[in-house]
Amino acid sequence: MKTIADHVLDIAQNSVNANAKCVELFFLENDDDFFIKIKDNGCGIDKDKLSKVFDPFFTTHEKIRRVGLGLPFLKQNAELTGGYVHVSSQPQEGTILEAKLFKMVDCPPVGDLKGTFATLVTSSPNVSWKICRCLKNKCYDFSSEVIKGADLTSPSVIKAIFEYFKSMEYALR
Amino acid sequence: MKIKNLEELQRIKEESLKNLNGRESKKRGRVVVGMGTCGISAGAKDTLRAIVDEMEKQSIDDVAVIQSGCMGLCEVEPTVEVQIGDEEPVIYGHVNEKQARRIVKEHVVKGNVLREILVKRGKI
Repeated sequence: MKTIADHVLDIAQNSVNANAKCVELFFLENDDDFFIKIKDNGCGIDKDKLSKVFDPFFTTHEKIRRVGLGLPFLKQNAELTGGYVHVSSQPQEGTILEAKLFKMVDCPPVGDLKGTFATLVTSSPNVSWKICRCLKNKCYDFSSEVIKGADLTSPSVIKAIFEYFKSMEYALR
Repeated sequence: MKIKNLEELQRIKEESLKNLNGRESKKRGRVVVGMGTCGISAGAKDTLRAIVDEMEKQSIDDVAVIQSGCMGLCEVEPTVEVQIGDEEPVIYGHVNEKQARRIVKEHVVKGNVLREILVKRGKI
């Protein structure tokens, strides 16, 4: 993964795959660090599997591939900066991921967050997203309620959502 | 098209709802972009955006754009599957932004399969 935005896109899709109905995503950026929190109400992870989520050779998709690299990659990049990734979960209730990355020479660039958010909110019609993005003291919120019922496979709708996040990100800077 | 605020986004949604209720909800095909860890790290997000952008430019709204997880073809990511009508699905590999736009212009619009980036025909 070249950017933090790529990590967020990758990790947040775990929530979609866990059949979450609602995913809350916080992306807070300050002068010195990034804080990411992803909270879902998906199927959760039992204790046994939770201890293996950072093992690159552990996956629940054995039929397709033998590796699960998403979380290990994020952990590696976060720890390189002196940060961390924590995952806590209750089976049948959901999962919470928290990650911190410090801005220093080994920290990946933030990358294309607008594209990440637009891709996530159009990834599945079954998931309701709540996104909170802050850059220092400026923030914006997004809730899937505003696009509820829209055809998320329509190119013009997806394009509009990309444009929306583009303008939101632009306003922060 | 520039979407500057929530009201404009809501307007697009209303239009989409209107279309859904009409006959336009019948899609003539689909384009699937692999969005697993492998796809994302190879640039699938830019591929998705290029496809959506080109389809909008070509005024195509009767072909669904769908994201999928890893299809098991990690070595040729980003991958894009195109299925039009009853035709056999076609999977393309190493689809960068430029190739993504070609797929829309050639395959989705004209029905020409791009042999040089073809990975597989048929269902995975």
